[in-house]
Amino acid sequence: MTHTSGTRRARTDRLVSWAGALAFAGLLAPVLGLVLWSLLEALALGGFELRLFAALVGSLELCALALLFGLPTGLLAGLHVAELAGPRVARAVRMIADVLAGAPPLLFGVLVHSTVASFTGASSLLPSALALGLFIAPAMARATEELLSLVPEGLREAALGLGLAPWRVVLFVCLPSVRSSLGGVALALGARALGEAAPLLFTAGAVRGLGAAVFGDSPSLALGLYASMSSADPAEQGKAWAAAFVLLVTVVAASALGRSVGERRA
Amino acid sequence: MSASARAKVVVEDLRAWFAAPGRPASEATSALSGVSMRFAENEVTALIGPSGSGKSTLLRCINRMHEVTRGAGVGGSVRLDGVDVYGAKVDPVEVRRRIGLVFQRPNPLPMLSVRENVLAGFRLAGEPVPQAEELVESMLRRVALWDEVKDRLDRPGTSLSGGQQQRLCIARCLALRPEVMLMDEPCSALDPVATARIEELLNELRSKITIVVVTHNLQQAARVADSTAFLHQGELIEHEPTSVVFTNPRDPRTENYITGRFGRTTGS
Ligand SMILES: Nc1ncnc2c1ncn2[C@@H]1O[C@H](COP(=O)(O)OP(=O)(O)OP(=O)(O)O)[C@@H](O)[C@H]1O
Ligand SMILES: [Mg+2]
Repeated sequence: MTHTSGTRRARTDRLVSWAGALAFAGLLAPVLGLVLWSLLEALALGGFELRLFAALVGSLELCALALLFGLPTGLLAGLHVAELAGPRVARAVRMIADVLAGAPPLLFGVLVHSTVASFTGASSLLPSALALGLFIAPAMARATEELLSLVPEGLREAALGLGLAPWRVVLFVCLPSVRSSLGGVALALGARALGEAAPLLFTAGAVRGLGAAVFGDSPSLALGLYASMSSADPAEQGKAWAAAFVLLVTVVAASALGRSVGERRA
Repeated sequence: MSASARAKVVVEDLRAWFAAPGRPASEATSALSGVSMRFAENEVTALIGPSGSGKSTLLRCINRMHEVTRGAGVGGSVRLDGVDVYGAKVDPVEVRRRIGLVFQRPNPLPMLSVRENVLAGFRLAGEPVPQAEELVESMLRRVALWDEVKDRLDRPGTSLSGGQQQRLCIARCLALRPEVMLMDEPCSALDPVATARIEELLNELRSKITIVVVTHNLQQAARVADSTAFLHQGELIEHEPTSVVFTNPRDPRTENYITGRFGRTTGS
């Protein structure tokens, strides 16, 4: 090894790490920019007010209910495809889940609005949560199936070899071995549902700006943001920016939490 | 195999194959082509043969683990106490509980501690274990692991060394009190001392349960087995009392193998 080739390698190393840092900054900039921009706009227009937190709580409620619908459904569907279904059924369910996961979220709102919503009357919480649940379930199903397919064959065999019923092996050996990854996926999906306004356009009843939201009305932050931002009133726009800021911070925090839960070793 | 001994397991015209996913069985690779043999009750039977001769496959067919592999198929019959374990009314879960298998590769359950690994067969089946602590200690003592792990019973089973994991898996299998115990190269990762202890264990268990042990260590087969069977390319070449196989083999292929003239590779 000569001296020159050594320094050249060091220089290449430095170049590559700089390029990496630059690319990272390129990805980070829009996120930070958006957070800062919304914060400044909201402050300038006096958008922060207590009602915002009512909306946030409403959003979180809605999100929790949606997870309650979507996660178990997705989990069971994923389990079924991975462990029980024959190859033909598995392929069909997988395709349906992929189509649903890729469908415009708006459509879930339309679907729920045109079917269930006519029975639930004035309440908008239930149909909204259903629409978001439909949005979550297919992604959860695919993630469950994929994670289960990564469970090493040796682990499954070890448990079956002990004379355990197959359903016990899935429930008490395979699922626990991927539980932290599943938790991460669930949180990430929760974060996505939190920021989603489109499925709610049809289910939330009248789309009102954040200024109109009152306690107990279970308004959605994302939907309110959409409505307020479209308003010509600068005060409403300020509220929208404030909502954007709160939403961004919450989603980033939830995603980060999901990531760290997912990476924790079981 | 003494003439008087009752047969605990009878294998008849056993065929086993592996098909690639989505391919017809006609294109499958055959691992066993018509094996017929009897395993005497409460005796130790050794299975020897070159790598790839079908020893592991034979064990896995006996306790219905073979079918767990994707694309794997089986034909013929395996009778346990006269009942075909492949019969329509037989639950494979029950078969695996009565016929324990110690796998070729040690496979402690990674999310369970050393202690819970010993109890895994009960705990994961939702069965209560009376005097669990005593059971754990006595099982770990029987496989000569207690002194090495008694201070780290709460560490993950996978934190043990390869040889320790191998003994942990034997303990886990033994704890379930199987009627038949199938052991696939149980000493492959063990040092001479631990190996000697496992051989002692086999001697203790003889006359209590039926044991089938796969080994590449011919001296070990000679030391522990009442009878020895030689497998070659998916066929049973001969199965005789151990002394006969090692001193006066009937088939030239057996003789070639035990004198080291072909195919004597270790492990895989
Ligand atoms: N999962 C599998 N898929 C396809 N073929 C397999 C599989 N497992 C084993 N085989 C094939 O079946 C035959 C018998 O394999 P088996 O594992 O029973 O041999 P073995 O006698 O136990 O060998 P070793 O002494 O190396 O453990 C071999 O030809 C092998 O290639
Ligand atoms: Mg083998």
